[in-house]
Amino acid sequence: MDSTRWSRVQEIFLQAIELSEAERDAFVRSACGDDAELAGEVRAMLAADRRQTSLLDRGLLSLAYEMVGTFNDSISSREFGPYRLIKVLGEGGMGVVWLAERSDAGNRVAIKFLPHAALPKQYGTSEFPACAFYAGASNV
Amino acid sequence: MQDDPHPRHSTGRSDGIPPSLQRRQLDEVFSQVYEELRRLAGAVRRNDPGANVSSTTLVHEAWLKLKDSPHLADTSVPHFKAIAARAMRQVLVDAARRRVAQKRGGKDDAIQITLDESIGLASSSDAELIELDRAIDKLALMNSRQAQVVECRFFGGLNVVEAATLLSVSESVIERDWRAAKAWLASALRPAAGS
Repeated sequence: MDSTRWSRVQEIFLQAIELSEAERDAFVRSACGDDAELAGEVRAMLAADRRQTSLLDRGLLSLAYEMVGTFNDSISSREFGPYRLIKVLGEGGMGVVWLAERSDAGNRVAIKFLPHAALPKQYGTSEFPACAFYAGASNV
Repeated sequence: MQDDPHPRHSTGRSDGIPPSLQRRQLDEVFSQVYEELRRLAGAVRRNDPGANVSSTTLVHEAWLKLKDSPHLADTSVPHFKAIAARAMRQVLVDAARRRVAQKRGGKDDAIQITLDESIGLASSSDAELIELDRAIDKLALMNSRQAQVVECRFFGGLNVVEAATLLSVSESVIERDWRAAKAWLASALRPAAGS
């Protein structure tokens, strides 16, 4: 999109957001005339503005945490329930996988700790890191 | 549109950064700020993101750490923040690129697959961040000030007043720029949705 076109798109967008939801569509239609592409651009922006779910609506810190933050520091003790954490098996964008051993039974599992940033909001305040168990880790 | 080979490592786009600083000095400042922010971002702890701490904190901590450095003797706080915003963007995009490269190459053993695909969570934000970075570059061609507003506010944590001062426009201009730019970027990241 060139800057002239962009000026036009945002001019209509900025006028539309001053209106109530109910009035917007008719306004966009009349402002864009038969330029369907223009109307499409404006409508996509209005939808995004309503959704507020892009990266830009997320806190930078949670993004920083997800990209470069330290997952391991969340595990303050090397104990997790009945499991003793032995070593990190793998680390990636979606969390850290630890090799762990059940202290009483002695069987080994892989436990994956998820970064909070990857979790739905309602789990984000949990005291404990979310985790998933993988029982098939005895051969690791 | 095309892959960009880290142009922001150089200081080619010097908007918002005082011309009094010589280019080489600016490069040194940038890399110093980059390293510091990368270190700080790397130390973000699990509970911080939920604590509603803003990016201002990272930039502020970087300032406290670096303000007495000789390279930064001529740099005011707003200009430092402008530099830091760009450095922060670069730190995160570089990290995202590394992570994507890591996923594609070499280490695709069982563990790696587990990390990426287990228990039905959406994939991480790497790709979206890289897309966002490119979309901001496209926005810069359409309206360079709006790209700066996004960079300052999102990556640098500048508030409306600070951004207005830095870019020498009114606060209402910053607010309009931000809202329109954010909506366009978000729609550009999800082209199929919402229309």
